[in-house]
Parts: sequence; structure tokens; C-alpha cells
Amino acid sequence: MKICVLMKQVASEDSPLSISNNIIDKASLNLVTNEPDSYALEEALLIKEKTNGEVTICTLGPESSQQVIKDGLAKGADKAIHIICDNTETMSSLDIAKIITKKIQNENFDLIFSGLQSNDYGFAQLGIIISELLDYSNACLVMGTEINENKLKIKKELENGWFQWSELKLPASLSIQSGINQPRYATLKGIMSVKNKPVDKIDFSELGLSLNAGYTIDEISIPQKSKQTQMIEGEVDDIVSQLTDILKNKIKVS
Amino acid sequence: MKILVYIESTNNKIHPVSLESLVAAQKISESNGAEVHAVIFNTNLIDALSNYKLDGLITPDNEELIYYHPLLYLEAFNQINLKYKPNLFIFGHTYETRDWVPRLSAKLDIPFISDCVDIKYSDKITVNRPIYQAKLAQKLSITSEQAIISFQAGSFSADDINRGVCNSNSESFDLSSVVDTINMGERFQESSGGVDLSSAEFIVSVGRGIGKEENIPIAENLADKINAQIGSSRPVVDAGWLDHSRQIGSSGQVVSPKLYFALGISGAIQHLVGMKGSKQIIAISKDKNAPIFEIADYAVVGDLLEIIPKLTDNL
Amino acid sequence: MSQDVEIKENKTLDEFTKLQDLSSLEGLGGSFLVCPLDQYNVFSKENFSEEQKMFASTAQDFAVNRIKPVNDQLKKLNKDLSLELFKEAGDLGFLGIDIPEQYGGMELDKTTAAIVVDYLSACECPSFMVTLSAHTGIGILPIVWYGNEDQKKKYLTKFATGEWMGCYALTEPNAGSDALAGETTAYLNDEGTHYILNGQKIYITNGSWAEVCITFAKVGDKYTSFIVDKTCEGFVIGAEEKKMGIKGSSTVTLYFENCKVPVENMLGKLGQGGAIAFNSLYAGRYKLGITTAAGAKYTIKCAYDFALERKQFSRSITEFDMLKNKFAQMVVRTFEAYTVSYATTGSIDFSISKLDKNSDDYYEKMQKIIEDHAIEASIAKIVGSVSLAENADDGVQIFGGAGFIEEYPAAQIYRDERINRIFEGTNEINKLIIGGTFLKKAILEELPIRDQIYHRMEDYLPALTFSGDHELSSEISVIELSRSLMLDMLHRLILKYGQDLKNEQWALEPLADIVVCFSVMQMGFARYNQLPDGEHKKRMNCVVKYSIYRNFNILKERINMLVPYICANSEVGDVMDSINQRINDLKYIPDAIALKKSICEELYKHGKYYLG
Repeated sequence: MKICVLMKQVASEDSPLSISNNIIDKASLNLVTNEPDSYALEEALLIKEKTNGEVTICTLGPESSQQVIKDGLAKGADKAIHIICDNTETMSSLDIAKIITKKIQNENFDLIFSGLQSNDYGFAQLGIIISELLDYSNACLVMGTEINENKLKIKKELENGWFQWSELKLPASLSIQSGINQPRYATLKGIMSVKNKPVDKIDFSELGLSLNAGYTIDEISIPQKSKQTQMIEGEVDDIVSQLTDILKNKIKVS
Repeated sequence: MKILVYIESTNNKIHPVSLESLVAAQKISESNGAEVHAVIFNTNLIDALSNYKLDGLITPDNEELIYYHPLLYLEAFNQINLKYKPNLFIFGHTYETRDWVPRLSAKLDIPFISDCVDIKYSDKITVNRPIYQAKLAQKLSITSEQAIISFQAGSFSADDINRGVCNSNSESFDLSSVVDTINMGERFQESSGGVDLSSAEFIVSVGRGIGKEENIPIAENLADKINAQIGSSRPVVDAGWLDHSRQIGSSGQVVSPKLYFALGISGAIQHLVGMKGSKQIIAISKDKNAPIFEIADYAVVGDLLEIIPKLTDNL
Repeated sequence: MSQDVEIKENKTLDEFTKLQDLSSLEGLGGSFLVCPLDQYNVFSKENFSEEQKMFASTAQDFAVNRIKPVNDQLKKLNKDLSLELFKEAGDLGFLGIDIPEQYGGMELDKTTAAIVVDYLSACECPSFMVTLSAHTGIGILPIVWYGNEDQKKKYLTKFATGEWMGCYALTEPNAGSDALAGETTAYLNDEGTHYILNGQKIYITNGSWAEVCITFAKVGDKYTSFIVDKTCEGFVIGAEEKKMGIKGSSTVTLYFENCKVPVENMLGKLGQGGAIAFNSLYAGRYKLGITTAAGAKYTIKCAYDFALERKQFSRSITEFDMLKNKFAQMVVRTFEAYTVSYATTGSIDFSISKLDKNSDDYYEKMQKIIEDHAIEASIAKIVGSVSLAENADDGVQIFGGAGFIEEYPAAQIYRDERINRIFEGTNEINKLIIGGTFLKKAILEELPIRDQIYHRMEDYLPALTFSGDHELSSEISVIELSRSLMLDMLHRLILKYGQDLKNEQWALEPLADIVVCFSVMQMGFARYNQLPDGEHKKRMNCVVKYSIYRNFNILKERINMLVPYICANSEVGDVMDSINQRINDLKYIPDAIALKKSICEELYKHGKYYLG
């Protein structure tokens, strides 16, 4: 079973965000692996262990993204593809998918895993677009996988607490819902093995694609608050009496 | 300009966010006179749309489209596109949309701008969407001939829908070319006896900030006192402290009570999507930067373990 | 320490060669004492390799996401959960860092071992850290260094995975710091198959959880080490002690009641117990330096988070200057603790890296290198434990009334912290080691200390190669003058007491304090000075300046105490005059309050300790 996991480097949740001229100051960001992608990697590693398979990490991003690769290799992935690209934030999901597809189309992966969405731009499309470009079957919000020989059963999360088991023919591209598993920690041995694992590095310009997002980014801003928020402050007793007043007299709870 | 709105069905009802998307399309039409068409695959629901102002309602002859299937939907839309060539496809940003619309984007080779919260027209279409977990927002202008967008739940109010006349045109799609690689199984619910929070008047909702399972009764006591239902954010359900049926947000229920009392909920975007329609929101969190304060009417930065028991006693 | 050293008194002053290049001393224990600032480098957090950074991040992930959430349960004694986490730590490789690869370990450098405990400390659970460190340090190392092939195979493989926990049982009711006075006995049985042990060992960390215990007993008059399995007949585990702090760790008395230990379980040779007992403790000390530094760091975060929310007179108490003063000093102490601890591991690793890994005596030589760094290890232990103690105390104060209430975290930090100044050799024992080792290295000429005494008497403030407009030029002079004063004090002490100095604790304690303060200044400066220009260096500038300021003050105070005690009445005035003259000539008058203001401002900007 050959599995490809699409992973991305993003800003951590506590990164300071500042904008000037509609550009986010990248230097101040604390960069980490996109959390939803760690669930995708873990699911791939679990299947690798069951099927004696091979896991390849694929990331598109600047030099700094090699940290994502190293972390993934340390956790047990076998090799990696790093497509170097400095300005992914202006690209559409479709363009990004085309770049990645061009690079991986001859690898004949049985499975492509991606995290549900990235914590920065959050389009939640990549793995599904690639399924169309490569003519793979697909599923999104996958909450469970069962694999027997060439049969893949997946459990999908639907809305309002509903679920659905489906059978997919391989090859398939799955977008993994966070919480499907418990991502492992890198072991010290795993970390030490990183330097011996192959990383295929290529600049995206070498792939010779002409791209056009089909939209322009006009503005990046800090969202305006639509609501007036009243801050309730003071000592505990003070807060309690203010809240009591609001609940009884304004909202009129019984 | 031609706009095509997809009307999704969920549990044999129209998905609320589809109607909100229709409002968005009508809004554009008001400013530039665009034609607004809609597509509905669940033919049982055609009547429910007959009072809305539409330039056309496309309905299929094919029975197999009543139930969601990504590859069949994809092919049907491919044929719709060939015939109608809409400039803009509009979807609700639902779980179903995430499952197949990106394929449509690839198939038609047009961009898909997902998870938008606003749309405007002046010379061209511009949309707003949250980025960086809603800590920032970006404004995009569409430059391509055709594009797809999807709207987050709650971006528009279905109450604003324009009523009027709507002609439906039945289409017959040739789906014989679809190679079936996906076999969709039965839908099921995991939790026994689901709780319907969507009609609750008051909700006391619990987040990770409650600290540990043993503290849940603090929230329950308050809920008892004010006749509220208990809701929760995803981490609390994942930790097993509350049943899945209590979960509010993009993977749980969407609610709009009179009062949403958030205890220790930081307000990840996936949660906010499910409760931002609440009439009044009170939020308590230790983290003064918690995103939930952005949409709260009353914000308390403090320790809920100290405040709530006293409040419950006081009421 | 207990063995007398032979003094080479036959050298005359003229015979001392003027050593030009002292940088060749890099990697030798105590080299900081004599290497001038322009010939001295330290290892520090900024020097972590890519791999080490990844070790740090996986340890931190595990600590924050796995251990910290169950902290509440680990505060009380919880054997099952502690062992479960211990085993998981083993699976990740955290327990096998010092264990050779052929026994399932990782055999990584000492800095990596330090990094792992540093970042695991992010669990903010001192009890668990004590459990883990007692295993990886004194539990494992005696077998790594002194075990034979069979012993290594049998024990180390299981220690590495966490399947077995180890413990180290030295202290007895009548033999604590003076461990060799132990009364536990062992004799060979008639069949010659077993040693029969009788006696008891107290305050044994991990005692009731461990499968194996390293202990010590006298065979006749020969102090000898044994590996005792829990399953040995006559091995009895006492009740859990009720402790002031680290209540989630196991501490018991172990009784040997005609305990039958197979002969093959003797560790090392008959009579080698003393060396094994003491040498095993050194490594534990610099690691304790790291865990206490980490504790000091998390105490800042904890106090800051509270202070930010706490409002008095309708503003956050972080806005009050007296609290800013506390916070600034907390940052400086944490910086000092980290600096000396990693300087120590770095110097040890530097020397170990030059050994031939395949030679038969590799582990013996490694142990010697660690022993050679006894002075650094003791400094790291003292600076770390005192930094944490003072931060914990300030922490309680910042919490105010809430600091005295168990519901808030400050009280537990305060109780948990206390043991650090006691175990792994009390801080007093460590001061004896510092003073005694300084003396020994001078007399045995393991380092050119007496050369330097001679040169410094000629030239109290030798010219260094730094450029005149170095931003810390006055601090450079302060440190070099301090070195001269320190060497001067040692010289006077040797003249007065000879090698009896090691028994003169009134004099030895201030001397040790002087060495500690000096090492902090020297290593802090070196850490700062070798950084590339940039934000990090800028942020460290005020911290290193204030650190030098406060350590220089303590050093001066100790000199003021020593001189009247050791000089003849007729000399005291002149000696002090000349020392004060030299200090005054420096014209070193930093604005300490301004420095602390900047430090605190930076802390508030980051919301946590910001130097790594």
C-alpha cells in the first residue's frame, strides 16, 4: 500500500498576527505543522503498519516547510517530496492541486490523505480536487478507515451527529477529520532516522505550469466586530451580581 | 450574469444554508440584474421552493440523484454547466459541499472560493472570507469567467429571501458514463436518543475551560436553575465528558437560542459557526483573547469555577 | 573529597610557565576558573543542533499533551498512572539516552539527556520528573559505568524501555551526607552463592515502584555495591513516607532482612562501593540544574498569568513596580540556571566526543570526565535549586493571599521546590565539593590555577583582546577583576590553611559562594558574547548585565567577610583598601533599576520567560 500524505506548514494558534499593506508579516509567525494534517499522517502510519506499506509526505511551501517533513519522517513516514514555493497564499486550491498532481501523478499512490483543512487559509479542498485530477475515488470528513486487501471501507462524518460507512475502490483520496485517532509522538529513534530518509526537493517553477488563480486578493484585514460587547469586570461577587441582573432583567430567564 | 444556486437537502428537508445562499444570489441580482437559477436534486422538495423568486429551477428526471452521491452529482453538474454556463455557482459550505464541489472545480477548471461570509457586486464580484481561524479576513475579487463560491452558515438570513414566481424546468441527465468507485452505505447516528438543541430557548454550553469532567455539574446546576439545555464544544465531547448529541458547531448542531451562555469556550471557528445566530451571548473565559468575546454581548474574563456556583446560588 | 591529596610544594614561582593559550583547556572541568573571557566559550541553548531541537520538541509535546492534562491525578501518589506514563516515556526513548545501543538505548550525548528532562519539565509536574530522573540518573548510570556484560544485558535492556524502574539506595538512618558511615552489612553465605545483606536504607525515591535497586553494604570493611532485585528473599519495602512536597513520587525505606543477593549481582569490585556511590551522583546534579531551571521558568509563567488577571486599585498588579522588580529578578535567575547547566553538559560532551567509542575503557573514561566536572555539576545544582527556590518564593508573594491557598498553583510549587536544595547532595555538601575541588585542582595542578595566581598578582587586570567599544566592556573588567580577587582569596586560604582548608567550613562556604558567583558571570558573559547580532542578543543584553551586577555584589560581600577572618589584624585594613581601590578604579556603576525595568518590559511583551 503506497500512501501519500499532504501536509502543510501553518502559523501556530498563538502566533502574533500583524498586517501591513494587505500582507501578513510572516517573520513574526511561529510555524508549525497544520494540526489536522497530523491526524492524516497518523491514519496513514496506522495503515502502513497493518499493510506493510510505505508513507510519503508531500508538502508545498517555502524552505521552512522542511520542518513539517522532518517531524513527519521522525514519526515514521518513509520519504518525502518537498515542492518549494514561497507564495502559496496567493494561489487557489485548484492551482496548488495542479502543482502537486503534476509532481505525484506518476507515483501511483494507492491512497492520498489530507487533513480536513488548513488552519490558515482553510479552503478544505486540496485532497478532493486531486481525486478528480487523478481520477481517484474520494471521501471527506473521514472518521474511520478499514482496509482489507484492496477493499477500503470508510466512516464519514455527516452533519448533526450522523455518520455513514461507505466502500471506496482504490486508488482513493481521503480528507481526514480531526479526532479520528491519537497522533503519536516522535520517538528519539525516529528523530535520529530522519537524516537517512530521502527527501525529493524540487522548485515548483521546474514543473512548468502556467497558473491563474481566477481571483485577486484585494485586502487582508482584522475583522470588524459586528457586535458591541459589554465587558463585565470586577471582583467575583461584583461579577455575579451583574450577571444576575442581566439574566433576570434583560434576558428574563425564569 | 447568470448565477446558479444549489439547494441541498438534508433529512428530506431543505438545508437552511441553501436558502441563505439563495438570499446572497438575490442580493447580487438586485444590484446587477443577474439571472438567478437554482438546482435541486431532491424532487420531493420542489414545492417548498415554488414561492421564491427565481429565474428558473432545474430539477432532474433521474431518481438516482435524490440521494447524495459525489460522482453522480459531479456528472449532473457537468451537464448543467454545458447547457447553462453560469458565471457563478453558489453552495452552502456544508459537509456535503466539501465532499464533492472541489471535484467540480477541477472538472470545470474554475476556481472554488469556499467558506465565504459576504458577497458584493460593483464591476465585479467580491467576497469576504475568514482566514487564520477567523482572526483575519480576506477580500477577494473574482476575475475568471466562471467561479464557484460557498457560504458559511449564518452569513445571510433566510428571512430576507425574495418571494415571487419560479418556473421549474425538468432536466434529464445521462449518468451512464459514471464509473461507480464509491458505494455509499446507510446513514446512522451513534448516540442514543439525540437531543434537539435547535429549539432550545436557553442553552448553557460547556467548553474545555471547565477543566475536568468532575466540574460538569457546575454547568448542569446553572442550566437547571434557568431551565436551559446543556450544549458543548467539540473537545468536551471528544473527551467523553458529554454525549455527542450535545455538540454545537460545524460537526454538531446549529442553534439560535434566546440565550447562549458559553462557559470556558474559547470559540474556535468551527464552534462559532454553530451558535453565532444566538440572540444574546454571554461568555466566560479565562483567556481575554478568546475569539468568542468577539461575538459575545456580555464578556466575563474570569474563573468560571468561582463565578458560576455563586451565580447559580444567587439566581 | 575524603582522600587526602598530595601537595606538590616543590615548585618555585619562577618555574611557572606563562601559558599563552588557555583555550586548549576547553572541555576540562573547572577551566572557567582560569580561562580569560577572550579565550573561553560555553555551550548554551542557542547551540542546540537541529536534531536536539527535535528531541526538545517531542519531549515538550509529550509533556504538554500527555502528562500535563493528568497532572491533578499525579499530584497524589498514583502508582498505576505514573508507571503507565513512565512506560510511554520509555517507548519514546526518553529513558534510554545514557544506555548503550546494544542494550536497547540511544547512547546520546549528555546535553540531549539534559534537553529531554528540560522539555519534559513542561509537564509542570515535579513529582513525575523526580520519578523519571531518579531512574535515568542514579538508577541507571551505576550499571552503565560499572556493570559487567551480563548485568548490562539483564538490566539495561529493561531499564531502557521502562519495563523495569530502577532506584538508588544509599542513605541510612545514621549515614546521610556521610554515606560511607553506612551500617548495612553483607557477607558471603557458606555455599558461596549469595551475599546476605542486613540493614536499612531510607528516603529512597522510586523505592516501592522499582523492580531493581542499586545499594551499598560493607563486606567486612569493604564498602561494596550490589544490584538487588525486588524478588530477592528478604527484601522488604516499607510504607510510603508522607512528604512536604513531590507527593506524587514514591519515597520509602527499604529493609534488607537476611536479604539473599546472588553473587553475580555485586556491582563493580569488592570495595569499589564508595567510588560508585559518589561518582553516580555527579550526573544527577547537572540534570537537577536543568529541571530546576525549567521549574524556575514555569514559575514565572504561572505567576505572570495570575498577576495579569489579578486587579487591585483597579489595575492589573503587573503594573506595580515592586512586582516588576520581582519578575525581572525571576527572569535573571532563570537565565543563570540555564546558562550554567548547559555550559556544564556542553563541556562534558566536548570531552566525551574526543574519546574512542570502541575502546574497552570508554565508559570508565566517560565517567572520569563527568567526575572531572564535579565543580560545574555542583554549581549547576546550587544555582538551579536556589533560582527555583527564590522564584517559587516570589511566586507565592505575587499570588498574595491566593499563594497561601492550596487551590492555586503557587503553594504546590513552593512545597515541591524545597527538596531540590536537599537531595542529590545537600547544597552544603555541594559547596564543600566546590571549595574542595577548587583547592584540589590548584594543588594537584590539574589546572594552571597557581600559574594564574602568580600572573594575577603581577597584573590584576590583564589586557584582553576585546575591542575597546565592546558593549559590555565594563562588565568584562568586572569579571576579570573578580577572577583575580577569587584567585587571591584562594591563595591566601592555601597559605593560611594548606590542605586543611577543606575542613574549614567558615572559610570554605564563602569561597564556594565566590566561585559560584564568578562562574555565573563568566558563563553568562560567554553565552551572550558568542551570539550573533540580532533580537535575541539584544533581549539578553540587560539580563546578562544585571546578572553580572548582582553576582559581583554577592562576591564583594563574601570577600568582605573572608578577608578579616583570614588575614592578620595588622593586614586587614591594607588588604581591604587595595581591593576596594581596584574595585573603585573600575568606575562600574550600572543603573540596575533601569536594567530591571527593561527586563520586565520584555517579559510582559512575551508573557513568559523569553530566552529559550
